[in-house]
Amino acid sequence: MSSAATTAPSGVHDHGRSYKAEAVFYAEIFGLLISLTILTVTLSYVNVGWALDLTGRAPNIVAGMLVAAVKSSLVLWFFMHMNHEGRLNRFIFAFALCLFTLAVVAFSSDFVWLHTYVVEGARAAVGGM
Amino acid sequence: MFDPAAQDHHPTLSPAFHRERRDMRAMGMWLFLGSEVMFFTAFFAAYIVARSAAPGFVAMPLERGFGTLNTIVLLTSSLTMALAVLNSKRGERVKTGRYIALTFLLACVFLVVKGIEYAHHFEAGDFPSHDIFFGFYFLLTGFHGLHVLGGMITLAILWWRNRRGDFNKDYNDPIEIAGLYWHFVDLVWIFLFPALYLL
Repeated sequence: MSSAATTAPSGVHDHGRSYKAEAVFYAEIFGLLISLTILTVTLSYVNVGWALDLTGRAPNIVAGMLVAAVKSSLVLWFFMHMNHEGRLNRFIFAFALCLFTLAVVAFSSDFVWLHTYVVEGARAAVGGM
Repeated sequence: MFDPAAQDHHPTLSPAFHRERRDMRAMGMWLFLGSEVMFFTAFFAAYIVARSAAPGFVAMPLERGFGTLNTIVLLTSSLTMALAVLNSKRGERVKTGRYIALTFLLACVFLVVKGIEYAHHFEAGDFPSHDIFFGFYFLLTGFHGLHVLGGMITLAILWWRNRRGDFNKDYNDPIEIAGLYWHFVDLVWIFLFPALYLL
């Protein structure tokens, strides 16, 4: 019988690290999450599209959602231990996340398109009359 | 008398059985969380469409201080929940109980801050029927608040069961599975915060 089968499971989270090392690692992830929260708030006060000569809120929305995606990945991967889940569990949740991403990206693209072409185009047409 | 808790960590159960049972429970929770993602996706998609196309839609300025404070509170509760799970894996019953209680208290703080925020809105006459933005604001934060409340009930039960001595180094699946749910509540807020307060 293999040693894995004879020892009681200490859980999927026991990565062989000491308690202190594991707790410090969690604290580091927490620090990163707080830093990213500060970044999100800061980004909302600046014109993110300035460097690319873009106007409107679209660049800020994209930047804000990207930071949120990074934050959620950190929570998912390290606090929820997705990295130690089996393939099936990963697939189940990844599938739902893909649908979420698809919905957000598809509808946000509409948002950008509507404002860049339809609204601005309508304004230009009205102004040109 | 049949005691399910005693059956759960019966010494004669093999480690392979423990692992398989844990994986099945985790799969159940991941499936549930997947359905929860779709639940919030529907509201998010509706919010994006309303924001882009609804006539007269204006993203009203919310008090960022409240939103930022609640983000920090929820992120901290995620840390305490992760530490509760970590301690339960090591059979540290007292520490596990403390971290579960701390997570519960932080959830209370979150709801109190949200309640104060809601009171400010109501004083200003900003009801869900006021305009489309506030309709979505109350819908999204209201459902999220209900999820926090559900998490708090789960945490209270876990704290009581941990105190009773139901969990040990080999049997702690419920704490880990509840942890997944709690972190998911945090995940939802990570997206709600910029979408409603900042952008």
